[in-house]
Amino acid sequence: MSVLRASGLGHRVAFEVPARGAAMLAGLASLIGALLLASLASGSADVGLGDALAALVGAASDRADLVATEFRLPRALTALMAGGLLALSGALLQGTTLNPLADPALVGVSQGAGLAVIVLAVLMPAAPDAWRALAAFFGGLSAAVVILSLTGMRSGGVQTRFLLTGIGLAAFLSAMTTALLTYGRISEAHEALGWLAGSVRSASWDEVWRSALATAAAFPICMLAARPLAALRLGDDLAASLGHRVIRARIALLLASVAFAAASVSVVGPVAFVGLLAPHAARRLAHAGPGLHLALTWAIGACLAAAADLVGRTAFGPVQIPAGLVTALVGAPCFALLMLRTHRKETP
Amino acid sequence: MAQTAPKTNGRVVVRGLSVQRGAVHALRGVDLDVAPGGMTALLGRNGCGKSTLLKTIARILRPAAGTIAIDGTPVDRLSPRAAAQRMALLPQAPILPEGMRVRDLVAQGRHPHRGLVRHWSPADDAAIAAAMQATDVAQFADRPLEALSGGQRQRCWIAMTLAQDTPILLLDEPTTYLDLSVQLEIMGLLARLAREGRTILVVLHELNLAAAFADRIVMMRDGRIDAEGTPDAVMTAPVLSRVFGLDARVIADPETGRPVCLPRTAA
Amino acid sequence: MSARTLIWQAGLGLLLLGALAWHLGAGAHSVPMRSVLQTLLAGGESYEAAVIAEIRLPRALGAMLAGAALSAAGALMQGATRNPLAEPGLFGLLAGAALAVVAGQSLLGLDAPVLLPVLAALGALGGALMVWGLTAAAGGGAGMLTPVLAGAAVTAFLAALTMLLNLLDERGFEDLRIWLSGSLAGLRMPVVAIVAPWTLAGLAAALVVAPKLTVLSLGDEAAHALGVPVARIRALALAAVVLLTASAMALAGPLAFVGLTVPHAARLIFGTGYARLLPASVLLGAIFLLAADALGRTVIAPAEVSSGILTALVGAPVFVLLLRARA
Repeated sequence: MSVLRASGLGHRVAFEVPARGAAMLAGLASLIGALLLASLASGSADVGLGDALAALVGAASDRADLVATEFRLPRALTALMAGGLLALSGALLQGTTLNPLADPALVGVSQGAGLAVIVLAVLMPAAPDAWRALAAFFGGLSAAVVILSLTGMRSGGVQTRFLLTGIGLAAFLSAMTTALLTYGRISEAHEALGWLAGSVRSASWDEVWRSALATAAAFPICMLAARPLAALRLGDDLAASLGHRVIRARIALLLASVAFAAASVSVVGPVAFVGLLAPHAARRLAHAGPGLHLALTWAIGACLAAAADLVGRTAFGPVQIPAGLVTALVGAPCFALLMLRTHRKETP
Repeated sequence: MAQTAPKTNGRVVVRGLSVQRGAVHALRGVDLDVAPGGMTALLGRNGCGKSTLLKTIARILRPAAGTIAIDGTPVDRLSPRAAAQRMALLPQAPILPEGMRVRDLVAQGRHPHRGLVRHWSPADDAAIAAAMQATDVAQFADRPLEALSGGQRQRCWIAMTLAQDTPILLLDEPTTYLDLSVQLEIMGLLARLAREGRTILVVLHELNLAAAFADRIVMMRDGRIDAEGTPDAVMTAPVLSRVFGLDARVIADPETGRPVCLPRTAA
Repeated sequence: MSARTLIWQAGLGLLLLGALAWHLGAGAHSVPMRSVLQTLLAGGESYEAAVIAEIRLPRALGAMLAGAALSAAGALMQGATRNPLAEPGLFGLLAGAALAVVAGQSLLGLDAPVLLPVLAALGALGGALMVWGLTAAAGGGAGMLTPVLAGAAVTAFLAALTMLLNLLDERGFEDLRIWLSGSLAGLRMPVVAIVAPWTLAGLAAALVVAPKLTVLSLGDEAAHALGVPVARIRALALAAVVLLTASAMALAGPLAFVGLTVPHAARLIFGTGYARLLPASVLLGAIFLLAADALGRTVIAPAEVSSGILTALVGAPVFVLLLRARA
């Protein structure tokens, strides 16, 4: 297998990338570009690709400019970055819990973030948007802390019980959220329901900048996380004997996972299954080292969310389907397939 | 071999080691000297503390009392990275990471030799290649681990510990769940590594496998060391009866001269 | 039946009467106990009598029926699947019923109350079969995990479809959203009268099948060797579970965790034999939901805490305790 390498400073900084993985990454990048173009070109207003591109360089009518740069572009960019963050969150969660079926929206992290945002909206309707992100982080973190305090930090306790406890917690939190919604007025409830289903409908440049900031923070974190993440997949004992600080690494990775999920949820609401599927798809595309695997995971998550948003807003005509519903409808069957595969392997 | 020479000798000295697991005294004052180079096998019944001893030396478990030193340095003074440069552990039945290529698995062993932003160096390449060659897994380098057989996988795990380039190798029952021919192959590999100068401490389940390949045997019973010495000195009917509750005869292998245990089966 | 069991059941019966009296009397407008009894026995024309007969009595009956139905369904499922975490919510039955009701109303215009339990039953059966099929395909699911994962996948899928229909039809959402949160508010006598036969039929089937479930706890092969028709018992249990879930759904919407909490509480008192456990679960479930609903109406009166919140608040810790006990 051919390998691309880069190094400098007398090998003190050095990276290697398998060629196939690099090719896949380039392919995904062009897919992201294509999705962006498709998002710019399609929608209910009759602004085509030509008008939209003209708007980007400032050479279009005011109306085309508004549709393309204020509605479609921020929305597509937000979906991309929210999906990428969610995918990274899933990869970290699966790695730290040694559970291939872990997903922030399955174990209640997303639901905790969602509940916190809804509570904030009910108690302090006038709170600034930035608080939403903070509420989401602490909501998601609380959910993660509850699960871990019930299951323990060592991998032995983490696997099955982590998932079961998480599923119970998710059921509990969504029951609370649904019930809370009945207290709001119908218009607010309907809007909140749309948000809870994972929608980027109202995304503006504010959302773009916030998710871009989170993404920019995520990349260096992932570069540091890649190796401990790969080592934890070998089990606690082996990771420790390779010189990793297991408990500390697991706590740090989980915090990062929650932060990524919260950053995504605070922008688009809890989108299910992107965090679950992207890491598996990345592994299918290329057997890559830990760092490249995370990069592939990010790109796939971004594509999944952007595609889901594109489908959701074009499939049913004027009615817009939240991206989260599209990912749930596609993701649940994939999850079932993955589950069958995992369990068949465990009981041959 | 292209393997870089071990930086330390690999002498392990254990003094007065006691370990508590829950309410159970898993180890009660163990003293053990492992000389550099050669293979030492830890034997005993289930629950006698042999795995506990191995894991405590590897710093997975914390001792309640006693000291462990590697070449004179107490292991609890070492950073995780420094410890990982001195000894490598292969746990029993390690988790199979889905989709991981053999090369990436073996590369994990280089972690203690890498920097924060230095993900790769020529020394890494050399160590990884040498480890895969020594264990004869180079031809699988780009295959995912789950595509291999049990014995091939076990050789990959051993390659990973070799890539760690440590003077000491700790292995917890590396032959369990493998076919007999594969067991022999793995033990032959370990014996060769021991002859090349590594200190190998291995927990084994199979008496005759230990007697055939190990240089020294340590018999454990109830958290203490009951007997230790060369296979000839330790594999005797009284020791087997005491440690395993086994009524057995010990004969010499007609070809190698090593002791072989034959349990009496009263018919 | 031992004296101890009799005493416990008599005690539960008294507790049920007490909870009923509290439920009827408590609320935004508190009615003294004497008036409650008077109204029940003699009727009357007063405002209080109207409140009790028109609003609180149907609601109390609904709470008792739904609580009993969900608890019995949970107990049956735990017995038939030998999975301590089995219950209509976690195993996809409630999500299936919710989808069928929403789809029936918004796509087919089937909004007659008579059809409510029919739709719910079809949906619950569909959800149950999907989860069962997935579990079977994954190799039977000896552990607790597989069916719960299958339930989570099916629930996510069906809930997404439900939400999709809701978003496409805002008018329907208005009517359904309180019901979808699990609430007894606004329940009227005609609906109770329509659903009650379903509940009673389900309970009867449950009582018939319950004694056989104890044998199933030994494992399918042992039960088979003892001459128990395993498949037939499972089929009957499934039918009872579907009837019960559908009726609870029609009365109160999707109430999570009731089917999990109550049978395990009953197990603490009455042990693991299903012949005693099932009637006890029925009584305890009725008491539990009556009390939860009464509490929800009084705690922040004049506003209400939805029963769904209260049952989840009690149920989630029980779920966690169950997991810890098994570990």
